[in-house]
Amino acid sequence: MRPEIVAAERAREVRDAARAWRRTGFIGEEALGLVLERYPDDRVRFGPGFRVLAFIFTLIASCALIGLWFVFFDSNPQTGASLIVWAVVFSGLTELQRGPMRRVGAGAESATALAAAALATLGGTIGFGGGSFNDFLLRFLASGFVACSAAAWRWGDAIFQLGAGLLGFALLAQAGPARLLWIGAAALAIPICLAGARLARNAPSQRRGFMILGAISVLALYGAIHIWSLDQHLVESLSVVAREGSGSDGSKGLRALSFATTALLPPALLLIGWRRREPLLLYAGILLVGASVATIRLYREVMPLSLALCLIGAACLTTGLGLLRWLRSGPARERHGFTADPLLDDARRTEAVRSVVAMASFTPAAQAQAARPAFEGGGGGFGGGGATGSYQ
Amino acid sequence: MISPDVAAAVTRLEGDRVLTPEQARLFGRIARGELVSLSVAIHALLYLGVVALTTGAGLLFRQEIANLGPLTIALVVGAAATLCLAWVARTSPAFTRGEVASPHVAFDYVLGLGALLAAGDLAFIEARFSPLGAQWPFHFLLVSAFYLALSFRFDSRTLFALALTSFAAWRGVASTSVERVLFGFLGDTETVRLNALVCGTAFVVAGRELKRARFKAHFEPAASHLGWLLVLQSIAWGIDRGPAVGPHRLALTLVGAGLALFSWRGGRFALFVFGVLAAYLGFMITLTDAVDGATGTLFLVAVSSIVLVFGLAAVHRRFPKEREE
Repeated sequence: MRPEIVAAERAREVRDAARAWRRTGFIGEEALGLVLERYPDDRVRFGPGFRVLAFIFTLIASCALIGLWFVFFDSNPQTGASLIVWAVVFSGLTELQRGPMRRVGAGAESATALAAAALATLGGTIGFGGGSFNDFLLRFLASGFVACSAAAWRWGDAIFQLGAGLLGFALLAQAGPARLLWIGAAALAIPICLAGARLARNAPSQRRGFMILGAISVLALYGAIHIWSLDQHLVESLSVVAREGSGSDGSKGLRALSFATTALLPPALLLIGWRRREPLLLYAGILLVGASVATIRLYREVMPLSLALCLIGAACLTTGLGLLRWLRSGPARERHGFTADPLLDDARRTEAVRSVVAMASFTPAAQAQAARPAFEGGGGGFGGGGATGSYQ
Repeated sequence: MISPDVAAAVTRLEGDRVLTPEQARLFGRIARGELVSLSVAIHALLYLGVVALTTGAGLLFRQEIANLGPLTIALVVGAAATLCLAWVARTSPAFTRGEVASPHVAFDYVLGLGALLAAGDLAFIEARFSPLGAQWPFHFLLVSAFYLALSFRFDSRTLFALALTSFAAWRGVASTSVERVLFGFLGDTETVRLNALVCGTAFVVAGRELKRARFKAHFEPAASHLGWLLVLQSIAWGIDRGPAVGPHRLALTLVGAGLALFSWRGGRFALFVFGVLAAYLGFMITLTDAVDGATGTLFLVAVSSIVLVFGLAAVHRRFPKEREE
């Protein structure tokens, strides 16, 4: 990634955080202004409405231009050469917009980047090798993985990070011991991704990419060790290449191991996530506990579905409310570094954290309705920079 | 959110005396991942709990319907809905015309559960005992009024949107029996479209009135978005086939352009998107019919899209609030 884009991303993170602090009433307008002054925005950005429109119409224009190209200049699209040329053209346009034109989140540059990756994938799929359906699929996976990885590395868009992760595991499924490869790759990728997602050296978009890849790896690991996936040969069925023995049933020992790991992996993720305070593992653990409970019912119908759903619902409600009460009853309404309150993302629901700050500064808590002018000059409680007057 | 960049910035801002030590400590802990919120997980658990419990209860009643009898089921579901709504009424703060903060983490879920259970109970009673007989579409109107009352009393935008969609559903279902008498010259499809148009206009007007009267003004976006979608959809219905294709295309172009223009002036970018898309659709479908062959159409689409992208870049300066946040 270009250094100036990385710097712009870092400054954007700080500005976003400062706006959240202001929105929730922790800092005043003046403090926000001082933060924005220190971390200025040198990019041209569109908001969500314009971004969507610019994205849609750039994609429409791109498709129409390529259509015209094929009408006038290339009557034999089977070679894929034109597609590759257009992929290069759209890559150049993306570089132009993100570089000299300093556009980020403006829609058009995302559309040209997407068009470049899609055309490179299509060009790689139809332009090289044999003409059988399996060959096409293999080439699609390989060229898609290469195009998405390159685009993710260069431009850092989430869609490419997601595509690279999914296509990478789909490619691994084409190899002989697909299940083992999934387990090995995921077990290797998860710690790397968790570390990469917190590494200060990485750009914010790269850190987000590590989170996305980490989430995909957790799901791939669970998919590979899951008992139903083993019984149904789900991973092997993703392969387009027919392999002998790929549909063989697992041995009793393997099935027992799969049973055990299906049951144990989600609580293990929860435990590790809790100890490391890692939201990705925690949320994956909660999600997969549900999946494992559903799996138990799939194999052992211990009770009618209606009763099971009622019990699961009651368990979810009890756990949710229990967790809420337990966390809120802790010192400063937190336990082990966890809180039940949303942090700096909703003005209406941050009374607890507000109270913590108020307690820390030995002043009465502010009202729930935030977003009022926080700076009160001339002797504000915390002084310097007019940081706040909210907690006086 | 965990962010080493924010953590570093917090240290710098504390050094520059922009942040106080207390603020810096809190913001730094969050940025370094030393304080993590489980709010989303708790809300997800509560939501899943409500969904699983209501689905399980529904299945249970369906299985036991022969043993329990419809009257018992109706009473039990009604009692459950009453319990939920009673808790909501007890927990809720007094009514105000403005926006109200949620008094409890489970408030919105219990309110939604109570409202849906009550509406489901009404549907069950209608299906089993047919109290409304041939006038059964009025069931939707009843549900709409019920949701509307709850939404205003307990300040729920979700229920307000449900009230509007139930009302639109009532007009859609009832139109064939009521409007046939009034507009006998129209077919069923045209009658439904006419209803959608009137409903949409009514929603837009209602939204504006709410905003003007400062009475639950924050409900206005839900009303105007749904209203304009209904209006544009009812017009777009006729651009492809039917006796008045031309006027419909012209109407879609003009209404879309008008909506885009007024929402641009008012800084309503979501409506601006609706308007631009509608106007473009109406305009392009008219032009593509006039142009001969695929090449001309491709050329037209390419040129118009590029012009539109540059136009958007030019006008976006008028939406300062829309730039980054």
